Amino acid sequence: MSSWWWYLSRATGIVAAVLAVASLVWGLFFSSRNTGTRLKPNWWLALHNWLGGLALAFIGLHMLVSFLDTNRGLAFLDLFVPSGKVGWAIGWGVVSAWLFAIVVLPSVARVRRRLPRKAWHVVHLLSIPALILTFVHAYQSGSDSGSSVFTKALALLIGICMYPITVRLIGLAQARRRPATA
Amino acid sequence: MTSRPSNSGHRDNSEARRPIDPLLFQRLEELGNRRAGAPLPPPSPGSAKQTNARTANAKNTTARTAPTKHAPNKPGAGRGAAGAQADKLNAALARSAAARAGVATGAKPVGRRAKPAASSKVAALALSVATTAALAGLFAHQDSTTDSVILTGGTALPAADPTAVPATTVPGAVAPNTVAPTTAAPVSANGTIADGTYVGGASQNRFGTVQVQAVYSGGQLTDVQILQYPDGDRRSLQISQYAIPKLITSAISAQSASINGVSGATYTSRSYAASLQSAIDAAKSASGVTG
Repeated sequence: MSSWWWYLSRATGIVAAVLAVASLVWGLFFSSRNTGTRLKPNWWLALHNWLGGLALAFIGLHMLVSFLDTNRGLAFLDLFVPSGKVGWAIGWGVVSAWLFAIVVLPSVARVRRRLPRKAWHVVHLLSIPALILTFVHAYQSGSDSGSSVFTKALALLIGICMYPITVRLIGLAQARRRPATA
Repeated sequence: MTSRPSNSGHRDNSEARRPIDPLLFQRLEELGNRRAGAPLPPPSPGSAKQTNARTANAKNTTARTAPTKHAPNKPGAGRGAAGAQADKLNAALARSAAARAGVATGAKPVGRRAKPAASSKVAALALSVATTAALAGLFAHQDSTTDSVILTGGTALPAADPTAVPATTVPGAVAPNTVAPTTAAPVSANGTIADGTYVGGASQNRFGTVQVQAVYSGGQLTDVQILQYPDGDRRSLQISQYAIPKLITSAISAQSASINGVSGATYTSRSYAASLQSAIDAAKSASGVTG
């Protein structure tokens, strides 16, 4: 059974990373108004929120299953406190999980209403460093990082993230330039 | 030169129109009350129908009076347009009040507005769960068919005469362990493992080979020396250098190969445990210790 915990740990980690990337992509397309005409913006926003929550749920599942995998020898505290004791490969994953929790939980409508918009936006931008740390964690500690398929999939995910980030940054740059030229 | 009508004249006209639509003025008063901070009364049950009827009527009136739009000086020319505007305002007021009443009673939007992307959400959840299950199954399948841990005969023997058995490449095959005692023949004293060094089988995984030798002294496992470890690339070397000292410490304190693996070095940990277990088995069999 311990092997199955290991397999599940790897699988949930991969799925959580993919969900986090999907949530980021959805959010960036929504915020850059690049949602097309076929689907309404509220569809994009609702799915972005859902994917973010789902990513956080799978991160939690990944942590739980990693803890249950006795071969790994992870203590309960190691799941929440990043340290060199279990290696920084795991530590980056812990930091990333915290960042995702900080990004997702204040986005719950009731909490968000109480936050100033600018503060919420700054907190929301933490999702980008969180995702970078996720990739570092996956590459350093992932049991599959030795395989070429995994490396290629990781490169593809990074590429998928880069496209909407670039679109968003270009949009921001254009928006800043517009009042100056008007 | 035409003289503009005085304000008092307008007021007189409004007063003259008052009996036409008393509900409009009632609503306007309510609007005034709301601006002054007084709460708006909930709409009457038939107000929506009335509002719709009035709006339709206003549209008709506007349509009828449209040709007179360009001739405001004709008697009654502005009446239809003004009435329509007032009706629109009234309708907006009624909608606002109804919305307020709806919120107050806990009514929520229904249909697609209430749950946008509901089917997409379900699909995302189902896809995530299915992918997790599929990946776990794939990993299990890979593990059962490929070289997760393969024990082969020892290769690098540091002590005594190496009587290594040629390595076998059959997955899952465990070759006989090589025993390389420091003395010619280990002698078991009072049922404990004889002092000596026992070489374990080489355990292969996808990153390389791990082989250890167990050093027994006084019947106790006192040291575990690494003969081979994954060092094919820089990363494997880093992982080995990080994980192996921890594995050695764990094995000595546990006096067995039943140890927790090191996070981030799962394959190395498993191979280490397998090789150490074969060394311990060899030591026990050479010393005539059972169990």
